[in-house]
Amino acid sequence: MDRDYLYFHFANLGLALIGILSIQKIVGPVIMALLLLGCAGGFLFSFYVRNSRPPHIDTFIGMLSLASVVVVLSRLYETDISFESLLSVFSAALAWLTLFQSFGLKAYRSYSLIQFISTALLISSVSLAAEQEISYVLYITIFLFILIFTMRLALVREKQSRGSLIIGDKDDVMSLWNQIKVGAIMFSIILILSAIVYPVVPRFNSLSMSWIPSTLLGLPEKLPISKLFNTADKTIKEGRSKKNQIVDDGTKKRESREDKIQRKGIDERKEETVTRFQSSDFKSDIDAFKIEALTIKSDRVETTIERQVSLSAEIRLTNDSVIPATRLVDWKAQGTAKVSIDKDGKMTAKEEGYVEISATYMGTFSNDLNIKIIAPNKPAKKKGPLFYFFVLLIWLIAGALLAFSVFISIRYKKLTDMRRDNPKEFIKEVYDSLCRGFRIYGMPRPGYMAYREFCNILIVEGRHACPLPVEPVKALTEGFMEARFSTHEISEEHIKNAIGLFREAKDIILQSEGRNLFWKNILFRLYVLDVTLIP
Amino acid sequence: MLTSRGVSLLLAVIILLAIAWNTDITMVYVFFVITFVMFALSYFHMRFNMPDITVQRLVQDTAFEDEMLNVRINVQNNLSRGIYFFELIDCFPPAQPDKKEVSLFMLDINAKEEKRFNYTIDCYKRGVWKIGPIQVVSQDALGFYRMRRTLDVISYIIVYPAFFRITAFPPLARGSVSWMGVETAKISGDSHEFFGIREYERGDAISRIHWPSSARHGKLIVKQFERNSVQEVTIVMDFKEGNDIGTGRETTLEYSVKIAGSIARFLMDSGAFVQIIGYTNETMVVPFGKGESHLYKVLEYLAGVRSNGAFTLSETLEEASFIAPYNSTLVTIMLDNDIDALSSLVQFKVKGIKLIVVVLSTSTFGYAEGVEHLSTEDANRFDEALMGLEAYVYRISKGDDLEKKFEAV
Repeated sequence: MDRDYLYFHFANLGLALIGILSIQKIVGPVIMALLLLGCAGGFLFSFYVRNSRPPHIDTFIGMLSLASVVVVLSRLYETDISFESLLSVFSAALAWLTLFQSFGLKAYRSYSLIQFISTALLISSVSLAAEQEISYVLYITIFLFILIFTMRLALVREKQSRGSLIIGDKDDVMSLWNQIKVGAIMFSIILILSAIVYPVVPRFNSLSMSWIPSTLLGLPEKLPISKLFNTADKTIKEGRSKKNQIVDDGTKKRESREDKIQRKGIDERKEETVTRFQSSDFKSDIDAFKIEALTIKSDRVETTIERQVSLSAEIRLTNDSVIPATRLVDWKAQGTAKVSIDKDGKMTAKEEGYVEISATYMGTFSNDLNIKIIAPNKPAKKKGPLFYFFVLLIWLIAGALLAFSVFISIRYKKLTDMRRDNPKEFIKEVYDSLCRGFRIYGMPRPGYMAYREFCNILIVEGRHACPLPVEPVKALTEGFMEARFSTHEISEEHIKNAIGLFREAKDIILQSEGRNLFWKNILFRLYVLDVTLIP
Repeated sequence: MLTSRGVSLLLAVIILLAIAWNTDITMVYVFFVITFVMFALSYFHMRFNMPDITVQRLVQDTAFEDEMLNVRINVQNNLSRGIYFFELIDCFPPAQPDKKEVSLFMLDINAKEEKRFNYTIDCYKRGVWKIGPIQVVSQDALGFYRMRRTLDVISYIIVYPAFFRITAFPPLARGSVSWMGVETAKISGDSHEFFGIREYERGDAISRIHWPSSARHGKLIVKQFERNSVQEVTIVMDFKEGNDIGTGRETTLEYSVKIAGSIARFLMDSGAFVQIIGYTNETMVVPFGKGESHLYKVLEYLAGVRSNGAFTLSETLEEASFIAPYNSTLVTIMLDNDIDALSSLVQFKVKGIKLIVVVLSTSTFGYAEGVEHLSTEDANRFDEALMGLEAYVYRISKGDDLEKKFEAV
């Protein structure tokens, strides 16, 4: 069996399942179960028939896919055309496509389509915020890992299918373990860099015109597109909230069920109060029967305590003329927050909560304005030098650990190569590594000292420092001298023997207990870690 | 530089940014950042993974058509770090049209390591070819970017045309050469046999005097050698530009080359002297000769010929009439629409030269611009003229089993 194909096929199943799972809120539990099970079945089916596909299966799959897309998209007929609804219908269509396409997987292109659909599903569901953030973290993490895995496999498979000759140890490089290892490294690097980049990503509402040079100041105001840029709704969310505040039929806007639930959720503990503010002026020449609509606006929808919000009112008459009526209307504030509105329409917030502002003039009701009042931001507490010291310390430790890991990796690689290419040097390195370890216990080997002499000194003096493995050290010294000075062929057997003796010596040293030995043992482990890792 | 996969990722980055700005959902920003980092990181990885390598190609100098060739490649990594997932594309023009670029995908090569490997390839078409250069294609680990670099690793190879087996061939004309009175040449072989002695005549070379017999008879006696008979064959080919009809290996030129090579080998194996005349824009004549070294001369000539000459077959035959010896054989390989060439063959008949004509049926090879096929009437006239020459005729069509055609006389 083609192992790469097996991995590639079922890794793609993982991507498809994550894509479908991410839109579970859109399609409902029953459809979700059907899609998940069907998709898994489809992948199994296409795996088993990969070499003998039933006739006309592609036509059948194509027709089913088309039918599903048509049926799902027909829902658009009775759906409001909005970003959310379009994306929901689009996602549902894609999910059904995934199901049917999974039965027809064979060529490389069909897998690319599945990958594309899965990514689109994930993007759709994230854009709709259909899930909790924690779920998305999980989805994106798994998705990214599997995607890296499949892409590396796909790269080699693509070359193979185009007739390339693969050079290198494919069994080793493309083994599952190696793939997972490389994928994990790449995945970690991407996540770490993403975490670094994320804070500097410009958000739309943080974009500023301040970067425009002074010579061009004023120009943005004159350019139509730039004006549009300044005055347009910054986000869909903002646009939606503005839309809710304006009604065009002149009647009082009815509160929707969703608004009520949302408001209840925001502050259900506080009681709502109603406060009315009478007008200071009256214009007798306005005919009440000619009033078409009364519209009120505010300069912001969110404010802080003790900060003023400017309210304005306009009366539109049947002859399309508009009369400013800020001083003429009676204001009504209903909500959990206390506010005051003066005769010029300046609203001052007194406490946290929300208010729904409306106005009346001669029996005509205005639209409602929802204004949220929040507590002013307190300046962040300045952190002391101790905090920065700890942060620095943590970074230093992390850096040191990273450097040590890199050093050990390089040493490990070097020793592995040496074991294969130069067994004599390898045995010498094993011996040197053990000698370095003895330094921790106060027994360094000076350069002028002969190897057997050092061995004898170790046996004699070592009794006082720590119990030393006499026999393994002796045997290792002899083995080292044979590798170092003789012209004998050094075989794999010699290497295995040297590593065995090294481990035996290490274990005996580490089993010893005594004062001050705990830290020395840890240091010893670190000193000989490179050789210890050699299998 | 961006692959189709890279373009898809770039689109995803842009779409995600647009959605993020419009919805202001934190997770979409996170998603965007991840894809953006993947995109940027892949580029740097591709730059980092650009190999600095030395490549060597070892390939034999000559091969025959349809022979599987073993090409040895040595790759030396000059960097002090390993490189992964890069491709070497070796340009091998003698291969089949869809296999002229040999792709070698290297999974990894360690720092300063030298890797040696072979690939085999079919020598599809004869010719004198330049192999190379080698392109190095590096890419990032996920295949979003690709970058190409060319290494000038060039080798040359001569691909000889393939032969087919000839089991029978019409008898050749037999000419003779007397060695009497000719300067002794250092030629070994049966034709230098001692025949007898006779009395010295004026003009005989002093070196031919047989001194012991002269002393015995008391007059000058010279050695006499056997009169030597030889078979000499001239093969005339048509390399006029535009007279190569067909595509790939199924063209009149390729058939001519194959037939000429096979006939030359068969005749040389039978002890005949063979010369080839054909006017391309470079090569012209391979003079008489025989033996293995001469066979390779013929093969080299045939490997390199192209249909790019200015001379028609008729003009080539005119030239050949000066070179072809009396009582020799002339083999002409011609197209079945070349009536002019038939007229030129008449003079050879007068000189007592035996004619063997190989006629290629042009209509079976397809149609070429500027090449006219004969009408039925002209075709009949062509056949009559051919019969009038009293030549031995082989008629070859595209797809014919050539071995069968040359199986019996």
